[in-house]
Amino acid sequence: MHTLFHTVFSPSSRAKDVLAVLIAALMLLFWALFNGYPLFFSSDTAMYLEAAFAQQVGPDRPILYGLFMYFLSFRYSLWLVVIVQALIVAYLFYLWFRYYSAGNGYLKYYLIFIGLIAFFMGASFNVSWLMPDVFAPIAVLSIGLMLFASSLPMYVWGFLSVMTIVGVAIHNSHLYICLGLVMIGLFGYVFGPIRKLLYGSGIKLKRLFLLVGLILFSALFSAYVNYVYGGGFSSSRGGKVFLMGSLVEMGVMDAYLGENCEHKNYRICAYRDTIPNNFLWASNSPIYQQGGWAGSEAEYSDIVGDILTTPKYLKSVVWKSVLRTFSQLMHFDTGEATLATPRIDMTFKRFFANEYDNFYNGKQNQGKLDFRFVNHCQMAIFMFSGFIYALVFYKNGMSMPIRTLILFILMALLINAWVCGTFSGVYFRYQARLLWLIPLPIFLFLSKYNRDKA
Amino acid sequence: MNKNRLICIIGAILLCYMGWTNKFPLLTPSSGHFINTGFTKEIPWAGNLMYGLFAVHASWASSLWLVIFFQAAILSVVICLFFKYFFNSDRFVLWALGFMVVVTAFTTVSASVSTLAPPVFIGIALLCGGIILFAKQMLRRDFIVVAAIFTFSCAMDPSYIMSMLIVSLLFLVYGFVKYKAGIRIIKGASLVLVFTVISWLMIASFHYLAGGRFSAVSNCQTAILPGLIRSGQFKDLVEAYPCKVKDLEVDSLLIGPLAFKDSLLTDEVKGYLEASVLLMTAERDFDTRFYGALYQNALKESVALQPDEQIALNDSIATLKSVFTYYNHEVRDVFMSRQIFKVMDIQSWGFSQMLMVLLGLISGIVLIFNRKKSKSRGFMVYLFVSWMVTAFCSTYFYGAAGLQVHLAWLWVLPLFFYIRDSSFVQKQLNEIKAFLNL
Repeated sequence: MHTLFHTVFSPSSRAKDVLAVLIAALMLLFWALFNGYPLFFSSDTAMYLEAAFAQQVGPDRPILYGLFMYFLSFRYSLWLVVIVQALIVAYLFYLWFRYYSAGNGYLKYYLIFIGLIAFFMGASFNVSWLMPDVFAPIAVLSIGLMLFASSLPMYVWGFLSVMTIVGVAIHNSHLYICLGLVMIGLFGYVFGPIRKLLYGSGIKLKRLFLLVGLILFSALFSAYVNYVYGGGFSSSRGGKVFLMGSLVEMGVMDAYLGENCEHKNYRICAYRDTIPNNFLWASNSPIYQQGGWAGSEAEYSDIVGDILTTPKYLKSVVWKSVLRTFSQLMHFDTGEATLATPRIDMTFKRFFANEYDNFYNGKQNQGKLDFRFVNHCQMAIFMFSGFIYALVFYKNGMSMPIRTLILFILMALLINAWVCGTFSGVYFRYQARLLWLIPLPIFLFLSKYNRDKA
Repeated sequence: MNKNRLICIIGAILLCYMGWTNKFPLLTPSSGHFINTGFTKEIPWAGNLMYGLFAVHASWASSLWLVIFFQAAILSVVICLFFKYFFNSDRFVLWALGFMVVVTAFTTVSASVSTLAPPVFIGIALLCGGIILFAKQMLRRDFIVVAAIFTFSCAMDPSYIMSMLIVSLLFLVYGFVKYKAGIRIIKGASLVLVFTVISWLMIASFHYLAGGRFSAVSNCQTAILPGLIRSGQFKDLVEAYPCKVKDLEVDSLLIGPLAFKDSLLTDEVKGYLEASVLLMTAERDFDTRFYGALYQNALKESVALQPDEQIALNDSIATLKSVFTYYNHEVRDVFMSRQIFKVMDIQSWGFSQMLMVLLGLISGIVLIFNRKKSKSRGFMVYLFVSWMVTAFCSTYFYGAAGLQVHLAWLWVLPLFFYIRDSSFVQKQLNEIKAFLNL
């Protein structure tokens, strides 16, 4: 007992772990440090901040990330936001290496893994970015650890549960991705061979139910927060409008309006010859001629419903969905660090005037950030990881739990690609936010192998 | 599903990487020309009708994505068959997948596969030619597949037929010189020659059925016109014999390396060009000037491995028009592609490609001179010879148009042969296999 206490709580091992997490967080902050300020994304960062400072949820996104920035920054410095993001991600990965593979030397593999994803993939960019995208991998990692780890201390369960709830609630797409992942696991339990695989990998049915509960609670939590801030009791914001935008991009809307405008009295028919590709955000979009997001939602809901229930159009939607899923799966360049728009410039002047010079003089705003090397490395790592996993499945290599973990990560990437590609659009940031999870099973296996060998 | 087939499909999906990341198949200024000729069945002045027919039929006149899927599938199958017969391993399909991963990550093969243009087929033709020449004890089914793909690929451009004709003749001569030891080479080279001739006959038949001459090209003189224009030789002629057609800018006649701008080829212009080329080729010192420039440009072409920085859709009106006309429901996809925003940058692939070619070249040279160990020496020689021959032939028709970059990925093969033959590397691979429990 004394030995156990000494081993667990001895200053040397505890201090080493804390130091490792801090070093990892520092590595993950690389791009923010290199830039001289946290990175921002065109007007989106501004919209989150504006909603939070105005204490009013917008029509197209939950307010939760805005509140996250509002409170964590203490209305003083956005550095605090990215530092917390870095610590969360670093700690989450630490928990994986500590509780999934455990044993001697796991810190070495943990730090090498963090170094790889921070400098040669998009992890550091996502962590250093004032966008909620970092919470997608946080949610997936939290869910994954709760499923795969054989035993976890209570405080870790608490931490992972909070991260799941916050991670899922913070962006429209996270709910569908996480729910989809967990539901696939639940559905798999119906079939004998898959049940055997899940059970053999340590994935218990009650944990799957617990996760469903957490995700649904998260949806309620998001709806409640939106309600408190004047947006009605709804977890997702502008879903039908997003889908409408997606159908425009697929080309299905043109065919539908061409064939239906004569006998259906839609207001959008007046604009059918000038619908821009950038349906959601272009200033000349019909949305803004028809009363904005809120004013258009009812009509768009009818149109979307009609399209999805008509076989002729549904066939096109399915085909385009498949294409866009694969496109999104391979569309993962990191580094969407554009120059500041007037909107974000104004936002920083208004709300973080003390940091305005740092924001303005950052390399991002000078157009001096170049991610081509990182993107090519990321692509190569993705390809090689995929090749190793193909080998593993071809020859039933590694071990069953690791193979199941690989499947879990790949499913997360696939579901993310499908949800985003089909219901929103094919954008780099959607897949880039999750892609750096792909080498994780390899390093966990190395860490486990090292332990078993020792 | 059979695991090997699944790996082949995964390989094909990976090979389309550039298309996926572009959000649409890559288009060139000449893609519209191919689409138009495929639908109108009008025999083009440069090249031939085959790629256009392939594109419209593979697309089912419905989606251009299907064209690059077919291209990727064909290449994936050929790569798998290549490794089956050159690597003699039960796990040949894993070698093939590894190869496809490396070439996709470090060369521009994915750009070639994902582009609506014929250059991907010369690589396929060379690989098939190598299999026919050097593979032993091929299954009948595999032989039929390789032969069919070879014949089909050669037909995509007249320069490919010329290349394979020269290569097969060279190896035929080599086989005769070797006499008894060269019987296998003679057999293989004869088969390549026969299939190349069948390919020529196939194009000629299609052209004849489409109302043209029984020939693989529309016009023997004007088939080399792109090369004459690009090398500046035609300009000299225009200066010597001014054009009677008003406002004709000869340099603007070409779209991309492979095609003429259909809209500018009026009967008057065609007549002027035909007459000019006849005049030019009749000049006493034409051959000296032409072949002098040809050898120089062929050498330049053989080392031109850096792709253009951007896969931009310059002068894209013809292509956009043809997509609008024939694939109207995909117009929005074109306008959302990275290409149209000029952000489809493959410069970093160019650097890694140069490195891979260098490593492959060194590996190839080592394998050729290391007679005892290498089982693939014959293929290495074939690769070196066909590289120079294709550079020569593409320059003959199109000038130094940078088409050799589409073949650079073949230089990764010597590297794989080297890895296979190296006992040190094999030892490391065995350790990794044991470690991963494979």
